[in-house]
Amino acid sequence: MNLAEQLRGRLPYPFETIAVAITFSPRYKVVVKEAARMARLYRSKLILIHIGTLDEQQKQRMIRCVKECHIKEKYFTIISKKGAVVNTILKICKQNVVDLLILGAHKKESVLEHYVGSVARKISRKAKCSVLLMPNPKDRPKTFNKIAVSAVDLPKTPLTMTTAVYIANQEDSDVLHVVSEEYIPMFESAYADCSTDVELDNRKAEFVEQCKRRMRKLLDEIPGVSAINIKKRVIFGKPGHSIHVFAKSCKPDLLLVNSPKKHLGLLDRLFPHDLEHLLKDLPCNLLIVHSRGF
Amino acid sequence: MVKLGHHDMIVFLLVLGLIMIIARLFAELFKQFKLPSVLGEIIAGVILGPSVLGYFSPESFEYLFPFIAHPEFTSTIPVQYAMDSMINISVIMLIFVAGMEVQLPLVIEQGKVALSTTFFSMLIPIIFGYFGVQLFPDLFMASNGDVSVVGLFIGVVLCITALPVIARILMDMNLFKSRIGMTIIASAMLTDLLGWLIFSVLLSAIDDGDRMSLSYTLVSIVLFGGFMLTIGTRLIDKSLPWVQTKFSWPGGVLALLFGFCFLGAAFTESIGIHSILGAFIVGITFGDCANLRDRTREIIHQFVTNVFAPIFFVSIGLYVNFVDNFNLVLILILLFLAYSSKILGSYIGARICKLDTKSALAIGVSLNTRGVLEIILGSIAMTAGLINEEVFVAIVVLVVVSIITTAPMLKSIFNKQ
Repeated sequence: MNLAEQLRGRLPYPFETIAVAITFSPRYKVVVKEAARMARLYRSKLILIHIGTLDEQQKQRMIRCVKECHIKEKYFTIISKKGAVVNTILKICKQNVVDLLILGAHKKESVLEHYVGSVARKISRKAKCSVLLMPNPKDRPKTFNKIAVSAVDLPKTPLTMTTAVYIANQEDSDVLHVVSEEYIPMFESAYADCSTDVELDNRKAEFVEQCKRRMRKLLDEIPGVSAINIKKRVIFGKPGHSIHVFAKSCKPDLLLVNSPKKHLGLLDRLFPHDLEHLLKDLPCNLLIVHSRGF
Repeated sequence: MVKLGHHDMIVFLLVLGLIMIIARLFAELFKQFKLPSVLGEIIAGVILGPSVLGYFSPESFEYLFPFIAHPEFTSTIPVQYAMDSMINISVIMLIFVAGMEVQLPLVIEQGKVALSTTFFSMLIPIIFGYFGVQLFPDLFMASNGDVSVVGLFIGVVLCITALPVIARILMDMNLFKSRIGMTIIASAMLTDLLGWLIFSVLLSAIDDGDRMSLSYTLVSIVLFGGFMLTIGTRLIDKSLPWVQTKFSWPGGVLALLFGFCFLGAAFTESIGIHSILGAFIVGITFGDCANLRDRTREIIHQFVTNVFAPIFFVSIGLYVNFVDNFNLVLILILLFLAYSSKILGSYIGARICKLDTKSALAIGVSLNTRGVLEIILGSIAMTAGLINEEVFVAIVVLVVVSIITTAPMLKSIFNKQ
């Protein structure tokens, strides 16, 4: 089976291969620790990606760092390549059939960075595998006890929710919040002039019930759901923004969302929607689940 | 200084009170038949105006509306000014609310399909409108004006879509969140934005006198629009959470929103473009703000559509004689041009993006819905002397017919499917 075929039919889970990008920034050790914790828990092969020249001393530092995390040498690989950072990382991920790419990321970007794009954000917008952005990696990594997943009404959502259930089972999480983001632009104007308050409330309640039914139906089809404490929520607002607000108040350890429908460009940053609201200000660890052609 | 005297004040308040109460009654009546309240408000105006009351009881009409029955009397000038101000403010607020409905991120998200549908659903109506006026200049021309400008104006009238009406129909049919629904909404939003832009430029082009040069006006509006829709939106969106928690709510927030709306309107008026474009752009700016509470939007809609909109829509019937200016031939031609061009244009645009025949047809029928914006457009054009009252009446009839026919047409397409 060639590489393209392998990738095309591949589900976003289980995480057989986890990659982590290393830059030797002050935070690189904690990012590696987080990646190593996940690699151990998910029994994954770990790939450490470094872009640029890697001398022997640096390589030894990396090996030492991973070994400190109790990962034997045969379970991890170091790949170092020269080239344009974003494209080279994406190419390595593709060649090695990486299931999850872990990146340390700043919580917020500066205005210039936002429009030009930082490495982590650029990768998130372009990646063809799932990407985990960690704005606040811990020196002593903890399991993801509280997980939230966006259940927005899109074709990719069932796979994202299945991935969330898979992670929640692996991490033995306390709770999984399934959050349906409902956005009905023009609801107010469409019903402003010819509906009473009761009619409007009934209409909204009807929408909420429809969403809950949809979530229930989706969850019923996912194996392993019964073992998890699931809380269903329906929130109203612009997709991406409303879940951002939710994540800021609920403070989950991990938030899962769909990968973007298309490559996001400058226009999408000028007029932000969906993922761009989250990338502007990461509320917590963010896992962008790529459905790989499903 | 022109001031409202004791009698003027009584007339003015009497008229306002009557307009609001009768408009509401008719709006509620139309609601029972599942028709938009705007239709009821227009009918209320027609009944109160020269078409019905003025015809059957001219004395009552003159007593209630002396400033309309005898505009030439200098004694009625203060009330005329007061009414004109009220109507202008109502139009600016209506346009501001229409702008709030335009969600540029949604348009960007829909991408190519929305762009293609918008392009053709504007291009074909503009071509049809332009050549329609060239073919029947006697029917469409107000005076010795420029046939090309009137042609372009009719083209713009033919291409604008009624967003709230179509949104309501799509929501009721559970199609709103489907791919077709989102394409329709995104295209309608983009069409409105471009339509108003073209119309405003057209208006500034026909205005002469002390207005500034067209190039200066265009550069100014591009800079203003560019700034407001990017940096402006960002700044306002960032400050909204603070404003919404620190200011009294909803009063404080509403005051700020309408304040910015009037400032934007004043700015565009000062650079030689009609004030409505400024209000529209400021509306889009606020509408795009993710932090603007849904409840605030709801209150603004309720406030404008129930308090200010009736003043404008009733005034249409008050000032225009719908019976005398009812030209069946003109109406039929306009209906033909509108339906054929909009449905054909949208169909071509959707088919280019590989949508199936039925979906493309559904998009065409939906985008063919007309509404409030066409009436506002027509009323401004009539005030500017671009069209005559017969064309305006034809536009109002087009709006009514399209609102009534869209839902059944759409239902028949989906039933067949």
